[in-house]
Amino acid sequence: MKLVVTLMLVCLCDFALADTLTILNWEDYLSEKTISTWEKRSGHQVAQVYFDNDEDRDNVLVTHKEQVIDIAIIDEVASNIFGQKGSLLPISSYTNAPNISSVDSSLQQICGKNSVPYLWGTFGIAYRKDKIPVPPSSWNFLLQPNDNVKGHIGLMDDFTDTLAPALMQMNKSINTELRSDLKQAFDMIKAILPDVLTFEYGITFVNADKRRNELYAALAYSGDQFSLNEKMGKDVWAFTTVQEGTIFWVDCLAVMADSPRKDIALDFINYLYSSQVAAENSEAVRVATPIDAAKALQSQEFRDDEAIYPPVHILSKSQQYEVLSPGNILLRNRITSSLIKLHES
Amino acid sequence: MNLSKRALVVIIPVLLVSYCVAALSVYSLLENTTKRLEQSRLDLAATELAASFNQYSTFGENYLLTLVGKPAFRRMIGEHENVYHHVALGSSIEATIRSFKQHQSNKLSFAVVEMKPKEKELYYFELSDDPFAVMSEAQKQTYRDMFSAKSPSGWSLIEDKHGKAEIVISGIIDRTTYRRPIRTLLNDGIAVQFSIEPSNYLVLKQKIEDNYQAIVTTGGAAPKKIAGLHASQRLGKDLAVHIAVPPSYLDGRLAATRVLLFIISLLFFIFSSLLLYRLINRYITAPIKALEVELGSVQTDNKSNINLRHSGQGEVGRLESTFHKIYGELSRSYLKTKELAEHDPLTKLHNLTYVSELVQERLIEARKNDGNIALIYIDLDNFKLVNDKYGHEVGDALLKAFAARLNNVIRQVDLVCGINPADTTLGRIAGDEFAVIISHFEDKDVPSRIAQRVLSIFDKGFVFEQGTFPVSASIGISLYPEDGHTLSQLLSNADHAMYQAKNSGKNKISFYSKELALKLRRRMDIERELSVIDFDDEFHLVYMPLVCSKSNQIDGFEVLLRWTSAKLGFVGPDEFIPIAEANGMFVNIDAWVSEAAIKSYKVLKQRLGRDFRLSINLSSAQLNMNLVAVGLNSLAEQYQVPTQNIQLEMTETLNVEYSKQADALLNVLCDSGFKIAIDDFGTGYTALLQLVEYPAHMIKFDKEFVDKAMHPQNRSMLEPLVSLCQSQGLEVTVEGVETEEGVNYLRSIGCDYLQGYYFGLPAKIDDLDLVSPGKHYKTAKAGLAQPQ
Repeated sequence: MKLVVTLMLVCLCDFALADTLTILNWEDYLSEKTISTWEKRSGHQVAQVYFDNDEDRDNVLVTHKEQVIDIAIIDEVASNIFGQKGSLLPISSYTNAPNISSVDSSLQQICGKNSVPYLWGTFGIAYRKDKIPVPPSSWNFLLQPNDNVKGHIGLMDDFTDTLAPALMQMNKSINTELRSDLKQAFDMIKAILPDVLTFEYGITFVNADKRRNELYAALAYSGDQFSLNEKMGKDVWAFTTVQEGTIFWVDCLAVMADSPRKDIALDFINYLYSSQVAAENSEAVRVATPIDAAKALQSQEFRDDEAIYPPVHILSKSQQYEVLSPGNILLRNRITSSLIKLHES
Repeated sequence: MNLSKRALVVIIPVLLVSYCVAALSVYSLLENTTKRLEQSRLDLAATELAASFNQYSTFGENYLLTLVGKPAFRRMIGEHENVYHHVALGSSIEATIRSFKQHQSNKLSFAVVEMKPKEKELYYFELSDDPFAVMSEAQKQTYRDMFSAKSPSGWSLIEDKHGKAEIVISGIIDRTTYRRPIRTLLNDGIAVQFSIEPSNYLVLKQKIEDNYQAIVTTGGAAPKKIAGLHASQRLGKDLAVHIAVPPSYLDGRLAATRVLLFIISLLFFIFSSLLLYRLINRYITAPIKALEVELGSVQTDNKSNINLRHSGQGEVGRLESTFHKIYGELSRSYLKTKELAEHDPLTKLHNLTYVSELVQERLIEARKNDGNIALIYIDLDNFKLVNDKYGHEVGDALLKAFAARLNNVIRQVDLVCGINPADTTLGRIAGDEFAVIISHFEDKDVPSRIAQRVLSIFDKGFVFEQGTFPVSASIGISLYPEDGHTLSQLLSNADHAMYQAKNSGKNKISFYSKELALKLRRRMDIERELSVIDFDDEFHLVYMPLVCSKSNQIDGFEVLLRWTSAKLGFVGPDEFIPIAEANGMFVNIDAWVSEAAIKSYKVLKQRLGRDFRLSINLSSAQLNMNLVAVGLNSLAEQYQVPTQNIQLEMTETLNVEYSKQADALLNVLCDSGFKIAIDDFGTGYTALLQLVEYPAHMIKFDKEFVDKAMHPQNRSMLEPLVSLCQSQGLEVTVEGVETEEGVNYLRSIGCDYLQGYYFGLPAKIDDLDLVSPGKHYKTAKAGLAQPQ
């Protein structure tokens, strides 16, 4: 609903003289300072359309009215899929945005040919330092919760991320096609449903739900802890990866092929990908930047934060998102729907 | 069975039957009502069930339409390869379904299937607890059927054996127009199916099945009617739901009712039984019971009659008063009878029955306490004479007067002797026999003092208003424990004592004693023996010679009877003859004596050598002299003894006074030729008139008289006396001559005959010395020592 309204507003904004660049993005995923600085520079406006869920975002991308979204922050998988479909502007067509080449090449590979890596991170557990003195070290912290954690757990509604902890704990691929693996994972999570407080994304929950204080631990992406603390108004949240491994994700920035403001978009991108801006933006949203040069410009404290820039041994134990078959997706969808349905009943 | 029990026996069956009937009626009513109620409930449940079902089916139909119209659907169909459309459609469906809170369903699915070119599932989205589930065969069958039946839409209910069910709403649409294809192109279309599990319906169904133990089925036609309740409701055009409730359910419900009804009836029954019982007891039975108790208490508490409590009101009151009357009459009657039974009506003294019982009681008491009892037996002497001479009226009056006087005397004595009046009892035992029973007396003299006082009543004969009468009393006294331990012993001993008193002269008191007992025993023995013996065996005659004083020759013999009893030994005639005479046996004895004597005349005559006078003693108390005369006559004739040789001696002690009758009878004997002798003259009551008038030939002076008369101072009387007798034509015989001197004297004064031991003891014929009388005197004297 939020999206629909926002889109409508954006449409209205179409009639303004200055162009508005519409960015489909996560909340708090683009620094306000960066936006305002570019706005001053370019004379254009930036409007963000938020989503909190990959599926929803993908849905929007599939169903949105044409010419409304200019830039979209998508995940690497969507980048591939939508790229194949031709929904995205290939980076080879990024004229006048040379800064994009400063991106780490391996990360670029992940995003593919139709988007540029934006920020990257890991997948783990965000937890309340004040409620949980010892940082969780295993997915079992959620999968076999202690009594003090029961009823205070947050999972996710994502056909990959929801099942990922279980699959990783079983030492399986998070992208598995095997029904048996999926069934196992489904059963594992089904077993702890009574202890799960919510399937809503942690930041959204803490922001909106009355029971925010009840959430002690949630599935989260690295960097989420800062938003959480900001939303709560106090520094109580921390983030950690666990021993079974993590997911190494890369968010990619893409320009919609049907965007009428491609040039403005590219301008913005080029601005965004300048080292200094990239460094500031990254540090502002507390997520790792794919640009080494930018990283060099960031504060020591930021660069040393292992939650943001995980050490090698963590990275070596990480998996990456892959494109799943439609059948797999549908099945996983059903699985998460079932879990949520069961949780609600 | 008493009244209370009877009341119960009446109440219980009646109430039981009543309550049973009532309960049964109520039950049958309840049964009907319950049946109807349950049917209504069932109908309602069926309606609810159908409604729930219809909600789902309606929703399903509507939603299928909605889905088919959704852009997401069309995109999915249009860009089928794009997996995002699939996902998007799914999310859309999910979101929509979530908002329909009322249609809670555990399973929803949406399927799109194409049949051409081949059956292929284009889309399957399921919202359920099992993310791995796939479309069921049954569901597949529905769209296949749809295609083959060429029906473009419809819905059906799929049920599995686990109780799960789905409503499958199907339709065929054209993939381009998204509308119903023309009939002929039906097979080119795609099937869209929306299935929804009617979860609430299933829950409801289960509840109904649980509550009613029913079988709920869906189908076209209603199943065969079996026993129990039924309800059916249409679910759609061709489908209906049927609820069949087995009879056991209704039975169960009714069973509970039955039990309740039973318990209530029972309680009521018990309660009303008790109440009724108590009320009946209180108001009906209790008065009767009280009356019963009252009646009983008359007996046990010796009350004279019942207390009247109900003053004649009602049945009980009337019963009471009737009883009171009857009992009163009975009581009075009884007392009167008792009095009559215990008292002599004439004298008002106690009668024998009472006295006997009293003595028994006193005996028991005395035995326990070592007490004394005296039984004073009073017999009035000469009372019979008074009765005969003066009549029964006078006799009765006399008795009455005596009784009164006796009573007074006894009371006086009680006072004097300090005896409790309760300890003396008076009774009239028989006609002229009375008894006084005394107990608890300390002084052993008391009985004789009382007897003395009784005797004193007759000091001058018995004087009362009718006159003076020569009645006296013979009193016999027996004592417990000395004289007997039982009533019969005491009575008989007192009786014997009394008899003894009578025998020894009357008007005296005799205490029972052992000698008396012996005496009486002897008397009884003699009596008995005399009555049973054959005289020939035990009697024998002895003869005493009558010696003519002038000739000194034996002129006759007096026959004396001797009895040697086998049992008793020698019994002297002094002993047994009075007894025989008293008992009337003398007739037989006399007859025997007469016969034996007359019979022996011949032998004696032979021994003597000449005729002699045979003198036989006869009791003059014979009633029938005629018979005696006839008997003697025949005997004389039989044994050929001339009657003038037979002399009959009449003992004059039995003649109290001259009677014309005796005179006449003696004449008869005289006429027959017999000689008559007056015996025992001098000691009896012979009147001079008898001397003159009687036709006697001889008079015999009694031995005792002669002994006394022979004393020198009296002797002078004898000679004139002899002369007197001889002047009347009587030969004088003197008995008891024992001395020669006597013989000489008597001879000198003119006695005709002499008889006595001087001339020989009485002996049997064979022992008689007939040659010289007198010579045997010495021998006789010597022989005196032994009885013969």
